[in-house]
Amino acid sequence: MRPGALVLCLALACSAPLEGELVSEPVADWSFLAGAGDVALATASGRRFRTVQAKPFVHGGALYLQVSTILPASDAALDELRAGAELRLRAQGRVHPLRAIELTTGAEIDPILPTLVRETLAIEATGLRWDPEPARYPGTQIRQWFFRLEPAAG
Amino acid sequence: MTEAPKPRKHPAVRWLVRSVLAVLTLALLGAVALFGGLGPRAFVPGGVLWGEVREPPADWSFTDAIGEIQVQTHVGPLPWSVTTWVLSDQGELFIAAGYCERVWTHRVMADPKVRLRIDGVVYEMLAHRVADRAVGARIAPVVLHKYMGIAADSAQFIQGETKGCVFRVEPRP
Repeated sequence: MRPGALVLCLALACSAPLEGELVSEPVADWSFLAGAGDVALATASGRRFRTVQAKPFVHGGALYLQVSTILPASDAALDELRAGAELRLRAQGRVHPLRAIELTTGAEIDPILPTLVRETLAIEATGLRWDPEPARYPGTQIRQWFFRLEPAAG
Repeated sequence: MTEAPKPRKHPAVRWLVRSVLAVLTLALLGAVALFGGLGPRAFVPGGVLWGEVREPPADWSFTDAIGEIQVQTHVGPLPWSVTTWVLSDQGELFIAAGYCERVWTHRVMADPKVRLRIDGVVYEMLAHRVADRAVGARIAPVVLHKYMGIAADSAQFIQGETKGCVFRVEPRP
């Protein structure tokens, strides 16, 4: 890429798909991800998460994604993901095509909370329950979305 | 007798002088804005916290409905203020930082005198870092519930892994 085009590309925050060896077979156990220090995420179109934090984590060998932000702004990659776009995860130089299934109910979210708070906040806790609008703390919560990541179809 | 013409500066020198003046002016305006009291905004630190100064209340539970407050400490002689989380438990007040390696946390550890601005009201207080595990067991569930929307029967920061820190805030004597 010519330097001028690169500068323009950076200025416009343009996106490019993640580069790496494409993995077609599904991963049975994602536990290796905890030790992979080079994890990158993008939608299949190459859009990165820019105004939100996207943290993949592993619970029971399965892969999950927590997306959070304290900002009111929307994020194009998150919008794409919630609309059903394919997600690409690159770890150890290999790119995994994934589909993201949004979790919205307590029954879906509660089981992953112990791992989530341990991995992302370094908090060990018991009796965790998803309670996004607690009466005692009205409107003080960060905005969050949860996804289970599965192999992309086809 | 004709007057000798004044020597004109080279255009490059004039451009350089103007550029330096522009940079100095911008730096001066930035310093006035930062330390003069515009206050912190989101991740951007600020200076003096202006507002009505009041005596601290005995019960801080009203802060349960407040997500963020401003904390003023100082860097050398200059005021330095940030936006951070506020926690109350059993009427006591705590402030927290997700990452303890911040300018303001180090400054508060060096000098506990802080000014807090909560809903536009300024309180002059002392803040001391809490290392007591019993207090951690009180605060961790508040962090989870208030900011993450996760209720817990019990919660505790994992020693040696947590990157954050908590300060207990008390009135000045």
